[in-house]
Amino acid sequence: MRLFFYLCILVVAACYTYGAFFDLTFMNNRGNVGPGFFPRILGVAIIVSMLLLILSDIKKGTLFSGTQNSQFQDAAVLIGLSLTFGLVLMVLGYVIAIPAYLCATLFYFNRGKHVTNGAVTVAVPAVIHFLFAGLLNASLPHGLWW
Amino acid sequence: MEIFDNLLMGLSIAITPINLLYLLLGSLIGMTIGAIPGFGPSAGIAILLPVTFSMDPISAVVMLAAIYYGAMYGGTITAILLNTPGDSTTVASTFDGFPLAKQGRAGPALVMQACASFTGGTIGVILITLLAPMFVLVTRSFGPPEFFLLTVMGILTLVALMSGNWLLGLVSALIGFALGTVGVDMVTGHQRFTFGSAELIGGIHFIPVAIGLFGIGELFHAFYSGAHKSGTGGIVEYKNEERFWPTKKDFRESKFTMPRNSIFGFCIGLIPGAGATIASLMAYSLEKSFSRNPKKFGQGEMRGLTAPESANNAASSGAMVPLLTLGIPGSASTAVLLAAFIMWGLRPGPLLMAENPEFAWGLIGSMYLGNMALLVISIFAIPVFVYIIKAPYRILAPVVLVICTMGTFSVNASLIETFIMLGAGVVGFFMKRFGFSPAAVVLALVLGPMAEESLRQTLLISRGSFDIFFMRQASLYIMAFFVAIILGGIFLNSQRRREKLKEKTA
Repeated sequence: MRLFFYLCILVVAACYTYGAFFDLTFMNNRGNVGPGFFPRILGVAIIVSMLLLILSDIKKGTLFSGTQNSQFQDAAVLIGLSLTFGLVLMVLGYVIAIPAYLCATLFYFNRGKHVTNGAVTVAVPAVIHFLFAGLLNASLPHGLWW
Repeated sequence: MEIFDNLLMGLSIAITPINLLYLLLGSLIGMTIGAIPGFGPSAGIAILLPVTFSMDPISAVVMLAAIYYGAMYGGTITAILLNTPGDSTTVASTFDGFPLAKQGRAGPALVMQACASFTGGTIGVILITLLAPMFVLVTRSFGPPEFFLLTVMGILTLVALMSGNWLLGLVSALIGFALGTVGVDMVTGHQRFTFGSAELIGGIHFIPVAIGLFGIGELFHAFYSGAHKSGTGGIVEYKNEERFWPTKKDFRESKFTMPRNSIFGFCIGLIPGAGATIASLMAYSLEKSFSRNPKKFGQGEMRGLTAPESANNAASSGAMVPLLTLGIPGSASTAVLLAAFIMWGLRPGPLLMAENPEFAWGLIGSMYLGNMALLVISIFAIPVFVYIIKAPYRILAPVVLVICTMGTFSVNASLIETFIMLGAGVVGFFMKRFGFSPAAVVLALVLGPMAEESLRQTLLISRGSFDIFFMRQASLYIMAFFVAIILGGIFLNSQRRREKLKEKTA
């Protein structure tokens, strides 16, 4: 898992550096620092630092640590539910997304406590609506269908 | 005398009924957020920042500052009762705080930490009052070269003073700098890494990144660590029937510890990048080394709790000095505050106190009142916070995530930013899992554009030559100062490694 994360950073850094070298100029027409000056330096620095980090972890023998275990499963479920919440929020709006998310999360992690789960599922969206839409007059996502 | 006139003006602004209400509200909210494990001042300010947009800037900053140091007070509650620091700034408080609670002295420990926090916060604010105007006189001679050095050196200091692998801190900072380059280049108008998106033309906003990394990432990591499984009810070390107030001996032993470590913590907080975490850990080490009975530390020694507590609250005040006088945040929390100031059209820096004295002195005035309010709140509301901590994490976590998501959306009514927040949450989880520094990312995200702007101005002035950094006296002093800090940090880290090695072999 650690190696996977490192490789993700390395790939994104490589794409960033590629963009910095090929889409942005290092110096502008007047010989001053151009839009690509900082990004090129940063991109190369990230790649070099990540390679050093990978080498350092290989030396310590920690590169292949952080493999999946049962605790990671719970985190993965929460992450999955949260990202799904974001998508449902975009499509259906907060009125449906918030209770659905709370219901699903509490059903999975707080099993058996139906009264508590029900109370939280009803109370939290109501409080959020009152706080944001009512008191603060802040915008809330209404979804594509509203 | 001018200082006291300005302070009186500031207090008169802070004592208005509406600002007092926001101060109390912010203090309560800050303490509550700080009491939730993993949520510190940075997360508290970032999460609640969107709520303040419809407020008057002075009232808003009074509330945010109250949340800032309220969270410092609240973070110690979980450190003492659960052996779980509320934030990295309260790690040192667990060393003796939790042993005290296990001895049945949770009440006295909580009261003493409130007194130590009050002492640190008050001394810190007094020192701000005296030193901030002097800082302004010094910083008036600063130009783009000095601002560039301060921003970059601030990040490097944070990286160098990190315990563990400094490469992880460096990569985190570089990622933050890289995120700061997204948007439109300020000089040429060229779009950078926007991928044709109208929303990214304005750059990546720091709020979704800060909320994602600090708030959401912490939730995910807490579930990974299993915090949701047992809840906290069974392991909170606090019983209502135990003795609540400290003894005279507790106050007598700490009477020099608190002011001494307050001044020390404030000085550390002044250094951009150092922050309250470093201050509290160093204060603990120093107090232990000065003690006649160092072996008592770690076994429930009251000074082992009051020393880091005074230092971290004073350091949080110290971090406000470079923020207000230079516009350079000293920590992740003040980085979030800086972004808030800019959003309200204020430009922290040498001219802030001259052009917006009511803002700067109103904020300082509110900090005096806030510390008094927090002392009273934290002592008498302890049973309430214990009740909140006893709420199972598996219920708190999704509720907090929903609030964070709605708060992020409400800033610019942007779903892209909501997805950035969720994405940052996933990244923040992995960063925390593998030892990276989310604080360095946020600090660099805020400082990066400032650093680039000042570097480009510097190179325009010097016609492309880097010699300008060695020709200006102020630049040379700044470089020498930060080299000393970084060498000191490297020395401190090697000392810690040697001590760990000694403990292992003993």
